[in-house]
Amino acid sequence: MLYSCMREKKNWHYGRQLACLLVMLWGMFICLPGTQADARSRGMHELTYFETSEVKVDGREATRVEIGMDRGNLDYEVSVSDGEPNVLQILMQKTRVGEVRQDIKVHSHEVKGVQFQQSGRRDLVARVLTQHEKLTEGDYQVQVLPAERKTRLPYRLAIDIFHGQVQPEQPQVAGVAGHTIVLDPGHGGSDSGAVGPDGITEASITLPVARDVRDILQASGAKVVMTRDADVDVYGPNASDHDELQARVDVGVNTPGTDIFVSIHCNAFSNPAAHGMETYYYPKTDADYRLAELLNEELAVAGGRFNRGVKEARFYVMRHSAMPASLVELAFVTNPEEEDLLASADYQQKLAMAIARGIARFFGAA
Amino acid sequence: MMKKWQIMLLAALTAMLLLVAGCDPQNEKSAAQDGASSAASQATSSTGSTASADASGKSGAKKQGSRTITVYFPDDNGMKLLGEQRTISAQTPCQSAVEELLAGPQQKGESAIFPRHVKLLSAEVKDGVAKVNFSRELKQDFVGGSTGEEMLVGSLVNTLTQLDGVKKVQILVEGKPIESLSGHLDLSVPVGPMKNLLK
Repeated sequence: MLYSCMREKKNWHYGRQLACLLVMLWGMFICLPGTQADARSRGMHELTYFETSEVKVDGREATRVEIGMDRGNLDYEVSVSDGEPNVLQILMQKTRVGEVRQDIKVHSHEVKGVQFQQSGRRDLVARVLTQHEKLTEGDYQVQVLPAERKTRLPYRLAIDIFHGQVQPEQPQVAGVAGHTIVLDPGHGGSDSGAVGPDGITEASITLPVARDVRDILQASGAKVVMTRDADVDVYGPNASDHDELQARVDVGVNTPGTDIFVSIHCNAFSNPAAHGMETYYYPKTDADYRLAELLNEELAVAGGRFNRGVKEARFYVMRHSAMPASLVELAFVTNPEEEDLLASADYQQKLAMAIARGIARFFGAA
Repeated sequence: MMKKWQIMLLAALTAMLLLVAGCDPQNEKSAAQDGASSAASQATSSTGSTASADASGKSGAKKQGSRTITVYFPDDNGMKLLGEQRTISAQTPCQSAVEELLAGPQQKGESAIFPRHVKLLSAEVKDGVAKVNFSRELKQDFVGGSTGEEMLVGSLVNTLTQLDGVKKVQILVEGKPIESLSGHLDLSVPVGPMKNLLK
């Protein structure tokens, strides 16, 4: 609001003839930082307002400090000094503090205060005093927001300090570094796999679970190759079962040094009452059973569903992969209760962690 | 006691008959076509067994050319296969046994795993392999899942390998051998008995 008034006064003295036109153009003119920059291209930025609020950014609670600028194209640098790990410093180039106070006390969740200090002749440093003991990269986010015509907000700098601790770091498992794992998210593309009573498809669950497993294993130093990393067929749409399954096996064949092959599926049965988790193996090497057994143990603990056991079966991807392989059936997508569980990101992450732990134990024991 | 003895005698007679008749492909094919239409007409019937099986079942072992086998159906949780005694035609045992499977279970605690509208097109035995040819609904309407596949294939294989001369089973859909049912089991080669699925 303050900003609008200022601009209007400055434009008013150009004369009556112009006034009419200016009033018409004013709405547009005011919101075009480029035009303003042209008008005062050599000028400095000036702060026009200061505000804090509690916001939600990507699902995370944050205290937002907003600093209005009289023109766009601000160059700034963000840093945290070792001496003051609780202070976020933003160096704003070619900026004057203008009419905003230099030392502002704030009573908000994450910010105690903001201080503005001139740095040299041209720059201004905003010091955001936070409640964090030691700021790390995930604790804050700084961005410039463009002027908004509707809300009459000018170009501004937005500093978000996230509440509490950063989201848990990427979980890891020990003992997989240096190993190569092929993950096979079952079905996909023209083949949705089994479908639950609410329409949840097997393929839509196996992919995110496999991705979670990959992230954990990669963060732990393993090399992970996925047979697919999108909702696609591996061989091609509507291929024969042989071509499609062999294409998945081939990913293991063509990845040098592949240690194990893990195929991730959701189960299905004609009776919706059928439930539980199970893991499969084909006894072609000494280690196939062991892999299925360890995956079964971890999935049983993490998933908490009925354990249907470790089972031998002539499944294509297990029989035709040269390395130890297992196919896991996380739960029944045809069971209404388990369908809901399988569709939840939390449960998917839990099962992914269990699979990663099973794999880690496999290499630990080998 | 008397009846049991009679059944045993009949089984022996049937075996002899089989030796003579074998699983004649021609014979089976024509019978299968009859069976397909009878299965279709009975798709909604809750008794779930073919008319011929019913008739022979009631008259017990007296009717010539029939024998009793165990037909397998999955339990409700898809964990194991449970058996039901059914009387099948001795002339066309493969076709008759598959018809019993398609008709579904009669006991409590068992579930039907074959899609409801699937039809048997033909069944023949050659070199120890029963080649069972289904209509496209077998794949098209199949529920999927490792358990679904294991139970369907297991019930078929374990039922048919009781028949004389049947060691393995190959599944065909619309005349073509299938490589898998829904992307789990490797069915590109004939499948032998799956004993681990029996209780």
